[in-house]
Amino acid sequence: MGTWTWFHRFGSPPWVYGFAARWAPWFGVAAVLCMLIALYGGLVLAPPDYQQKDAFRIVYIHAPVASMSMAVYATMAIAAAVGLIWRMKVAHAAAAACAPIGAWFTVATLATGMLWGKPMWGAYWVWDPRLTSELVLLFLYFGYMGLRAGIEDPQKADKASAVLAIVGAVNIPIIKYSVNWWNSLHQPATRLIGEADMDWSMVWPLLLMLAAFFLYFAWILLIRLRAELLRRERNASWIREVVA
Amino acid sequence: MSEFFAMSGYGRYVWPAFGIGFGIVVLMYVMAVSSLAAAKQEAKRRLEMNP
Amino acid sequence: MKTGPLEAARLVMVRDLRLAFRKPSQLLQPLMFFMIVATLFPLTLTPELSRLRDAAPGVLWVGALLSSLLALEFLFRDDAQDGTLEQFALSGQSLTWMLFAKTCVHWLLTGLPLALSAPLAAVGLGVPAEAMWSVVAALALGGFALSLIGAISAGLTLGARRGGVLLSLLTLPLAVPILVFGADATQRAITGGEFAPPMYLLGAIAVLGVTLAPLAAAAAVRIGLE
Repeated sequence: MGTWTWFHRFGSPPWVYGFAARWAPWFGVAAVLCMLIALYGGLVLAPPDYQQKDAFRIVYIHAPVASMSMAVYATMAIAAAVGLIWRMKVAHAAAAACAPIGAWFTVATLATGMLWGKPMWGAYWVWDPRLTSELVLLFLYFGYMGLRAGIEDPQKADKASAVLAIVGAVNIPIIKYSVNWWNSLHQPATRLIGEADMDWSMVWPLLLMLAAFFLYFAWILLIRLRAELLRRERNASWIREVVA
Repeated sequence: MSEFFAMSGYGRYVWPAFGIGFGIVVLMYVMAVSSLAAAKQEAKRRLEMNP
Repeated sequence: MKTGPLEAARLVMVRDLRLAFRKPSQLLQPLMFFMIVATLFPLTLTPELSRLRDAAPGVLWVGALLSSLLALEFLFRDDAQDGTLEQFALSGQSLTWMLFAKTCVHWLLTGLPLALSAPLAAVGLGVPAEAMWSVVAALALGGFALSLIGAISAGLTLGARRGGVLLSLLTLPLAVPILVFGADATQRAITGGEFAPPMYLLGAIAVLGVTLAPLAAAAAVRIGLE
């Protein structure tokens, strides 16, 4: 029974609004702290890579935002599926809140990847499979947000975009596979991160930064979720209590 | 210190990457907070119009 | 007499084919568009056949994708506007099967003719004659997969304003794997490489599309009709 009351609570907009208001600051504090420590570890403590010298340090921003660009899509698709299956308004609101966050993470991934590519490959853009998949992912986010914006009825927009998010989630592995296939035909695999031999002093700032970005995502998501809930529940009585 | 900022010659790539990355981090926070503030403002306005 | 889902699907197919042949000009337009796009490349790139041959897979597939997007707008739009889709949804028959039938007809009327007429464009792009059957086969199979993916986005954009651009925005990223494998198959057909591997992958996508896309399209259409 315990888990079900927990689940039902997450279906209640006022409860989730209160939960988000209470927890967002903690996530924020934790995220900023982890980011600062990881930045110090990555920029100062970690020794330079023997091949890429200090250019490898871009990994401490590129890899976390790249992971988040995927993780946010997964979160969005799961939230969309929950919203569709259990008709949960809060889940639809969460999916809507995820989209712009994921799109910005994807933009950050592309920008930092380009800045890393210039010293490593000699060009800002080469058709590397990972960067290409990120570009397609950005287009998927654009499509999702475009569909949401294009349908006036908010409930229809929720459901239609949920179907699209699920279709996209099924498609993403196929897209990644096809892009790898395409790339293997045209050029040898490129090495972006020193995957092979990273010293622990290089690894821990990366892991900490990754954790920091998950916390950051939770923080921003909770803030955006509150805004979404306020807009969606504009006629509900609980709004009076939280706004006054 | 200047050695640190030079990043063994790669400073012109490393710093913009961190600048853009954390610039977007700050930007997303600002946008989220302002969107919440706008939603609150809107809700308040509606409540005042029909109490 | 009870009508099963297959019988309902057959009836929808017959109806759609009959309706389509009443307006033959609408059938020809995507084909003409494809031909014009294929003509623009020699005019903008180079008239040298040896260089056009390198670009041929891209030209054929991007052209095919764009013209199938054009035709996609009409897949559900007319039937949604005159209430036919609503009748389908209320008929008690499986909407999934009926939409699958509609999608098959759409492919028969746009994807297949496009694949069959592709050799005309391919000749102009310097594709050797012995590669033609492979070019047609790849475009036909890929076109089927495109129609299936397109049915989902056509269903999703039913409730949207400015559906046309949005339809392309939704479909293009989802179509990336089809384009990659299809263009690779065409490339291999032209250069005489091993043709089968990308075709298997294209076939796998088509099979996945057959099993999942009609379900998603039916869900999308139901949402649009609500």
